Amino acid sequence: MYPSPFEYESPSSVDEALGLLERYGDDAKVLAGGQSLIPMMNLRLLRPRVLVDVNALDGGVPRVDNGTLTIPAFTRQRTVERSALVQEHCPILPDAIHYIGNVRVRNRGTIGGNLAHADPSSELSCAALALGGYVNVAGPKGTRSVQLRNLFVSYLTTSLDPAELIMDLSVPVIGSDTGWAFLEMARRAGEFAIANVACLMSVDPVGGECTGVSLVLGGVSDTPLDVSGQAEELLVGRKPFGQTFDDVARRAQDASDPRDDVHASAEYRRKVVRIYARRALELAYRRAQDSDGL
Amino acid sequence: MNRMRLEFELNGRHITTWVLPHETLLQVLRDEAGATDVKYGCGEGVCGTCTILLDGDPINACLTFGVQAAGRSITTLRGLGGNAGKMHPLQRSFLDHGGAQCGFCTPGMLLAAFAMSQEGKALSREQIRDGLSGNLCRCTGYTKIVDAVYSNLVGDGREAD
Repeated sequence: MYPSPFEYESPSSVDEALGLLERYGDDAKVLAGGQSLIPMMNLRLLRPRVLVDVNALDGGVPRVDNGTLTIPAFTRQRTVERSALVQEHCPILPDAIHYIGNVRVRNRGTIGGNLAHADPSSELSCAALALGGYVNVAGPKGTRSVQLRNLFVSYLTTSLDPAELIMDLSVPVIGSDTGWAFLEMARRAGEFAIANVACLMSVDPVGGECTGVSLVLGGVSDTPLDVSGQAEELLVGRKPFGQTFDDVARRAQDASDPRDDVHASAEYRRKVVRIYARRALELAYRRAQDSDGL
Repeated sequence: MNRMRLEFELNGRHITTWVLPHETLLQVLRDEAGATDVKYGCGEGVCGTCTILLDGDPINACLTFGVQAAGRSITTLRGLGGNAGKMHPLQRSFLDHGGAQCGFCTPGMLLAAFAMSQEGKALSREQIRDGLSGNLCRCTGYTKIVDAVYSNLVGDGREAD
């Protein structure tokens, strides 16, 4: 299984890359890590006429400024997975990224490419959405910010224009009163998830009540599914206990809308997401208490 | 469509060849550079058979285009023992523990294990399994492969002289 022929462009600047994307429009695909694109090309699911290789573009390194962690789009997933800076400020990300494929995939795959691919079970998308992140996007009309909840439109579809490039991902750093959890269920290591869950929970260090929560489900809809609102209704302002987490998990299950496919039935995915949502809530809560010293 | 000139380093040797952009690095290595020690398994990046080291990092040769290797340094299995054709201690360990049967997954396994050993951390069997996840073997059931890698890492783990 090999790809069909294409024209190959290797721009050396962002402006040059954008110019090429505008010129070729729907005929061109961006080649970053290629770890989602090239398998599809090898399987002949995609036959782009032009590939615009952005690997020569240097976006810099991950950095933290004023409580925000910014990761350039061209950063390899493996770099973020092993970054001491990211581990310190936003530990849910290395955890989530470790579930992406295998080490070879992560050595080439990029942060921007993963988000732009918009797979509903993308671990990075799920965790970044739970963090409330946004991307900076460059296009022919300039740069703009896109909240992740507005980026993922449908299955493998973003709100980006074909001539736009994600430049970086920004997420708030995880505060000391906040616990986090990323859990995934797959039958084989490195497989696409049957379901995954990202959860962040803030707990008041004095009283122990939940002061904020976010909960995002992957693999159970055509985009990562944000059920934070429902979690907040049941949790914020209260000191949670087992039954509360069960109730939130049940709501998460009700909100899920997965399809049957060869890996799992919709019914199975819904069952799995409920269990994993509950476990993620419990783990995030426990971590919040630990860091609060409760 | 015009062929593009491609130059890269393969196991310490300088390679110059002409390729079409859609030829994968796997194809270029096997067909143009004589590196038939790199095998084709799945074409999707899930089996690890085509593992090679790009500037020391393990990647899937089937999920990279040849043109993307321009100016880079590639190591395949034959580069592990050094050009004198000696065996790397990892290869010796695989022999001693029976970590290969048909041998098709073996180049990928060895390179993945080598990359892990380069990180310099002492690894448990569980961590070795995690590091080798994504390298599929249909013959051995993995136990002897993990034995071989564990013995090499916990033993002396030093490279061949």
